[in-house]
Parts: sequence; structure tokens; C-alpha cells
Amino acid sequence: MKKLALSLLLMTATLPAMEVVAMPGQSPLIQFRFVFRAGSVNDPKGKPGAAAFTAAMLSNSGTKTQTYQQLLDAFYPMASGFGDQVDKEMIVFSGTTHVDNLEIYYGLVRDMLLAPGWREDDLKRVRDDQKNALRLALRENNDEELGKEVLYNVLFKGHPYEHYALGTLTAIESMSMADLQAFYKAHLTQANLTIGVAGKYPAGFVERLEKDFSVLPAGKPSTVKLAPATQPTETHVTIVQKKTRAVAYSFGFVTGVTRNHPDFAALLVANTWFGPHRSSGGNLYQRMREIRGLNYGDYSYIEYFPRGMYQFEPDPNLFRRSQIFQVWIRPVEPPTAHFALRLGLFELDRQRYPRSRFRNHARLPRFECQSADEDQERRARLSDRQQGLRHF
Amino acid sequence: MHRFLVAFSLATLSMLTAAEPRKIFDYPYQQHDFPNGLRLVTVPTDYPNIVALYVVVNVGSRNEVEAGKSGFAHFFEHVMFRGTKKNPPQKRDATMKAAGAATNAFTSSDLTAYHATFSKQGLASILELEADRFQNLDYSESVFRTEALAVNGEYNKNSASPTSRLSEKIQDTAFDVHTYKHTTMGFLADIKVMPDQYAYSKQFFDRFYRPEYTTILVVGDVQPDAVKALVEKHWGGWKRGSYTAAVPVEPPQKGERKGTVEWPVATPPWLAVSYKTPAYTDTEKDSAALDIISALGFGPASPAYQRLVLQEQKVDMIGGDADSQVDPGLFTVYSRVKKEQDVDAIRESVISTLNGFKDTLVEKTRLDAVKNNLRYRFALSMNNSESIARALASAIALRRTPETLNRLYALYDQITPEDLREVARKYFVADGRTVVTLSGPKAK
Repeated sequence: MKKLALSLLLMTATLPAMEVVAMPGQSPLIQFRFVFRAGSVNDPKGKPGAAAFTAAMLSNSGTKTQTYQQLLDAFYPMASGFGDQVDKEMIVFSGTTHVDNLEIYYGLVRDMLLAPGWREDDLKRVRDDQKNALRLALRENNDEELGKEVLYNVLFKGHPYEHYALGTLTAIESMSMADLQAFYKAHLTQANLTIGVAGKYPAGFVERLEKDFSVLPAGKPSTVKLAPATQPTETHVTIVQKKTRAVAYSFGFVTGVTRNHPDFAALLVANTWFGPHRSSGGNLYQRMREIRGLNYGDYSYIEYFPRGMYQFEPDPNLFRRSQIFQVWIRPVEPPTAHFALRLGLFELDRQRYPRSRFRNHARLPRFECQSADEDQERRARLSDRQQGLRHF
Repeated sequence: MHRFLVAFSLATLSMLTAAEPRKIFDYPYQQHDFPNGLRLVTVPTDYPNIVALYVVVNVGSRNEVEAGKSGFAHFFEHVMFRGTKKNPPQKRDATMKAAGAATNAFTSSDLTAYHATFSKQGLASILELEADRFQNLDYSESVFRTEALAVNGEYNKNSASPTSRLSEKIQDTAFDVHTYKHTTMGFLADIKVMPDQYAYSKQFFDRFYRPEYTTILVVGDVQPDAVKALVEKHWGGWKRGSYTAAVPVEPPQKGERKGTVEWPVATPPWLAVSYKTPAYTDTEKDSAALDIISALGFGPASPAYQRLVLQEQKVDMIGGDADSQVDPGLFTVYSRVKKEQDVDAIRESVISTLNGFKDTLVEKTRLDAVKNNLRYRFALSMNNSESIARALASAIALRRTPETLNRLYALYDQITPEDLREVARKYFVADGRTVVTLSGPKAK
């Protein structure tokens, strides 16, 4: 008997289980985050965007018992809603309600995650939304974000991080309800789930969350093995041609430095000197905007920071196991565009190789060669354009 | 200090059943006018350590009355970061960094706001730093010219978004003489010649950067009397000005107007249907009623949203927006239509939805849902000192006091279905309408 009890105990201890991070407080605003440790790295082969499409379907559709319109009608008087964020390694659902409305609100979001309706009319609408988010919000109307995402795309070529979380138009068009349901079953599991709740919620609420969400399949962690990204041996240039007033640049390289790396703190300090986000105090900003007025701003990053043109702080839960260093040069007018890129590279080299070494500039002439020959440049542009947009 | 938060929470309970008037903004605050015209509003909150400082100047693109000077208020917001003799930009950055400050500024039609959020230990040094630049700004023509190029860069980075162009076209089409004809960024032609306006920039500073145009908002972990003493010390000697911009009055619109924007790359068409509406008011019901109509007509719980977005799925975005501005503005319904051939039908849907408010009284339950939404939306946004300060800055732009929020939300509570009908009849008239569409290249 004793032996059996011990082995049962061991079994329980090794089963992956959801975690609840509870932050009780005095605020009447109750905040929820449901974080699943799965993301676009788990998109099945040939179905890039499955994670994002599945999450969008859950947060923008009806439940088994209520249509999406009924949900919107119920959320409306509470001025609240429920949103999702999908990146390489995390799927997050989040929302906030006033404690007055906690009971109704929680009932709605619980059903959205645990008892989705999987209706065809919702699928049709969400599919259109996903395509428009990719085609319009990124590819056509936001050159800056497009540049950043193309950079990731190039740096992580052949790696599970290569494709953009929203996927491709072709894949979004081709995915079926069964594909989304399969992703849901495989990855939205207890093993992957961490629930965060904060605010002045009533006693017993955390236990209720744990009990309700234990209906999800136990599952196994969805962690995918990641090989290091291939480091390029020379500067690679990708040009995405568009009809625009100005030219946005992003350049960088994979660092392999995450927050548990011994160099992280030093890199953070260096980056805070070089190009802190939306701060006029950075060296890059000073040299490019304040002295020369080349554009609206110039910054650098050591961690993923999407939506930087709208936000001053990055959203939480964008965890990645492989990060890049990148420089973001906001749109520059064509006559000064080439100079701006060279200046950005120059300033970076000056930080990396203080005083003497930057004068050698091994990398810059190579870039120059690539754009010097018109025919070569045109050919490069054509192939690069296709390459750059292949995934968007 | 916790009692503030509890009081706030209780105030939002049972929102539509409480018998006595409830203030939407019920933080105790101190409002003080200095002899030079400067106003100080201090709001202690129970969020520890953090202080949000907003210096709000009641100047925006509305005040740009001279030809060729559109966009200048926003441009000047940039110039204000070019420092003083005592605090050149690098020294300014060092002071801000020492307080761990996140700092920036923004401009709208009716205000320019300079803000910083920092640890409370930095309050004295930052109030002194800000007082210095508002009184002693000093910049050379060369840095002025450089900054003008950065503004051009800002226009360029915005220009990739079709909605920026759409807004420009709506305002340019709907207005003839009022300065709301241009956006806050200004006309591109005026932005291009900004580098040559150094002398004018000095005049602009002299006119508008004066205490009677300025309100200092301090929100967070502070003591009002201590804040008042610091402001008195550093800002008390600032000299009052005498300038008032003669903003032209827009004559009544006579007849529907139309505009189109050709977007250079493929895009689903955007449609904007606008009507002329009155200036913001917190004493009459018009502004409150128009806000409610925009939600009832096109919010996510509206029949139009249900039909167009969820059932027919002809548009993927739709929403109403009633301007809250110092002078008469626009009520606009924006939509992104999935297919070009549906644009005319969607335009008719929008117009008939608004016309519907003229004939049919809204059900009380739907009206109550919107009132609850407005109150909870406000409550949900008040979750840190910075957010509170930002909400108050918009109120300052309109009436220079947080009290206008309480008056507006009290009006929301009083709105009846009959009020909505009356306001709809008054403003949703064809003569005051402007319709603008934005489309990509026609398919070949």
C-alpha cells in the first residue's frame, strides 16, 4: 500500500499542471491574463498562423451557449472585452472588469476559452479579420512594423521563429475549423497554462479559477526544441519596395542573449545609452534626429518590441528564447535615405568598436557594392522584394 | 489614503440606481489660481511613489489663424525640447533620467501637453526644470531648422496610414475658414517651409507660452500644499501675456460636400460620413447626447454593427466619433468596407441609421447600457496616476478644470430618448454632411 501511494504521489508531482499567479489588491479593477506556453512555433507544417487564428477565433466568437453578438451585448454595459496576443512562444488572453461586474464577466470569458462555439459565420468573419490584419495593418499601412517583421523573417530563416505569427494569406485562406480545433486541443492545455488575476476579487475566487480550468486537457508542454539561428557571415540587404513618401529601416543580428544570460544586464545598460525606445536621451536619436533632423526618431532594441510606433512600453508576455539586437530608423526621405542607413551603421560600429576599429568599416563597402551597380541592384531588389514579402 | 480608492469603487456601484448625484471623478483635488493667471490642479492618489506631471497649454492647431502657419503648435511642441541656457538638452535629459522619468508631449486641436511620470523624489527638480523652459526657452536658428526636419519626418511616418490622409481630407472638405480645416500636423506645404519660420517661432512662444494659457496638473503620491509652494517658487514670477488668436467662425454649411482620396496602393475602401456639430458643452445636453448616439448607432452592441460587421460582414471596422472641441466640430462615422461595390450601400446605411434617431425613440434599456458603458469605461481607464492625469489634461483643454468631467457625466445620466431625438433632428441634416471616401487603385 505504501509503495503504491508513493508512486501515485510521484505521478502527480510530475504531471504538468496549470499555475495561478494571484495578486490580490485594493483596486476595484480585476485583471485577468490567461497565458499559454505555445505560439507560432507550434503552428503545424504548412499552416503558419494556426496559433494566431485559433486565438482570434476564441476571443472574437461566440460560445456554445451564446452567439458573438450576445457576448458583445453583454460586454458592452461593462465597457469591457477580451483580447488575445499571439507571439512565437506565448498565446495570451486578457481583459479587465470592474469588480461590480466580475460575476458576469468571468462567466463570459471562461466560456469563451473553455466552451467555444466554433460557428461557421464567426470563422468567416475572423478569417477576413486575420487576412486584413496581415495584408493591411502590417503589409500595406505600416511600413515601420513591416520592416521589423521582415528583419525577423530574414534573421530566422529556416528556424521555427521564421514566420510571422499571423501566418500567410494562403495559409489563413486554407485553414479549416478542424485545423483550429486541433490546435486548440493540442496546445491550450493545463500543462501550458498560467493564469494571472489581480485586484479586489472575492475570497475563494482563485480556487474557483483552478477548478473551472481543470476541465482543459492535462496535455504536455508544447515546447519546441530550438536550434540557434544561423549567424550570417556578411551583411545581407533586403529591400521591400513600396510607393511611399519615405524609407523605413530595420537592421540587426541575433544575439542569443535573453534575460537569464550573464550579458543581459550589460547589454541593457549599453542599449539604454545607445538607443532607448522613444527616448530623446539615446545616442542614436541624438546623432540622427537631434543633430541632423533626418527623421522622427531612431532607437535600438535587445528584446522583441512590437507596436513600438504606438507604445512607450512593450506589452508583457512576449517571451522569446532567442532575441535579436536591432536598430529602428524611422522613415527617412529618399534623398537622405542612403546616408541615414550608413550613419546608423556607423554609430553602431562606433559603440561596438570605440575609437580606432570603426574606421576600418569592413561592412560598409560591401553594402555599397551591392547598391552601386544599377542592374545588380534592380535584380537584387526584385528577388529581395519577393523574399521579403514571401511570408506576409 | 486607501479611502479614496474605496470611495471611488463604491461610487460606481449600482450606477443607475443611486438616488443622489454621483461624481465620475471623485478624487479630492486642489485647484489654485496664481495671480499671473497660471492654474495648478493637484490630485493626490494612493498609487505609491509615482507622480505624473502634465503641463497643459491651451494652444493647439485651432489657434493657427495665419495663412502658411498651420501645424505650428505641434512644431513648437518639438522646439520646446531644445532647452535653455541654464538647462541645455543634455542637462535636461540628465535631470529627467535621475528621476527615472518617462517624458514626452503631444498636441491636438485645442491643447499642447508636456508630460513626465517619475518618482516623487524628482518632483522639485522637474518642476524647476519645466519652469525654466516655459519661461526661458532658448534655441538657435540652426537647431530650429533641424527640428523642422524632424516634424517633416513625423509627417512621413504617419503618411503610410490611410486614416491620416482620410482625416486630412475630411477636415479640409468640411471646413472653409475655421482652423479645424487643417489637422494638428498641418498642411504639408506649410510643414515644408517650417525651417524658414525662426522669427515667427519666437513670436509664437511670446504669444501662447504664457501663464494665462497654462495649467499645471500634478497627480500621484504628493501633498497639495507642498506642490503649491514649489510651483509658486518656480513659476510665480512668470509674466502674463496679452494675445488672443482671432479664430474665424465657420459659417453654416449649405449643402452636402464630397471628397475622395486616391490611395496609391491596394486597400479596402474607407468611408467617412461627417456632420457639423456644436462646440463642446457641459451645460447643454448636445455634446452628451451626440456621444451617446455615436455609441448607440455604431458601437459593438448596436444593430448597425450587428448587421454590417457580424451578419452581412460587409465592413470589418465601423465606429462613430463625436468631436469634443472648443469650437464646433464634426460627428463622424468611419467604416472600412470590404468591397468597393458596397461603399454606396454602406453610406446609405450610415445615413439611414442616423436618420432613424430623428423618428424612433431609443429603448430605455439600450440607453442605460450606453450610460453604463461610458461610466465603466472611464472607471477602467483610471488605473494609475498617469492615466488620471491624461484624462484630466483633455478636460483642461476644454474648460481648464476637472469639474467639467463631472458636469459631462451628470449630463449623460440625464439624457432621455427624447433628448436624443431632438439632437438628431438638429444636427443630422443633409446640408451639414460631408462624405469622404478613400480607395486604392482601380482594378485593371
